[in-house]
Amino acid sequence: MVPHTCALCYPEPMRELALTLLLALLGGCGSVCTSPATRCAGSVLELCSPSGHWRRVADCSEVRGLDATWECLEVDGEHDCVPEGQL
Amino acid sequence: MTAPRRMPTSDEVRGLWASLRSTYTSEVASKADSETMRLVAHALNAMGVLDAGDFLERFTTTIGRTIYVPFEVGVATERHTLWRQVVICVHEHVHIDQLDREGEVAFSLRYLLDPEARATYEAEAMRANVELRYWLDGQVHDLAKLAGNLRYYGCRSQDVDLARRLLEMSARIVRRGGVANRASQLAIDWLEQHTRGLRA
Repeated sequence: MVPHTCALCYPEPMRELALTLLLALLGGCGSVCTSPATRCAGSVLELCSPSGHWRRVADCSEVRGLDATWECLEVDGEHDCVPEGQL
Repeated sequence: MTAPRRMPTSDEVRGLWASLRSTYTSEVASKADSETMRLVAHALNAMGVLDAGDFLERFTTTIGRTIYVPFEVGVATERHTLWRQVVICVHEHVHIDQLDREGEVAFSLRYLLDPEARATYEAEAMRANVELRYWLDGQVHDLAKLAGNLRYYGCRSQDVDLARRLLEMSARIVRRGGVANRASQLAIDWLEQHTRGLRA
């Protein structure tokens, strides 16, 4: 199903399929979240963009520092990368 | 751009570039000598996106695993000081990490066709600038100004705002003592092992 916000997504089937695949590659044109929400997708910290797509901030499990393992957690209503055991 | 307590030496800058090039199997090419870069410059100029001279002389461009630089690595110029060359080295290798993570085709299409994705990728690479400066002097950039550079990248005002927000979230990690970018981690390890007296 092509999101209704895509004005160019309604021609013949093959072109529609190609465009749909391209848009899927680009993240699609329908909103999936409300800006400026944040979330932890596993260990990946994400921010909702103005167009309503989740955008990667960082993979918290790959953060190095303080000789600690870092994790993605909700802190004061917003998600963040923090060293394990700090909170 | 912050000046370090002392400038890195030419050998230190060349050493860092060599280390990251070896780890990433990347290549460095002169932007001025590249026919491809001259064609891109003329195309951007014709589209009114960017002046051809600016593109060739001010901006470093990474395509695939090749980094096209508008300077000679280890040779300081007024525009590209040796510390700036350190930051550029790390920033550009973040783009190679992105390419490896997402695949060359997907990364290139998103970067070229979607200004919001481009702003997201650049914000991640700009975090390297923030991580290196924090390592150097414990200070954090003016993030709005840093994100504002994306106006040169064909990004819209909402994309610049997104990049600023992404950088603010990244800066929180940096202030906590974390280094998120792999290229920054490798560079900081190398600088700590091979240089003395750079940090304030």
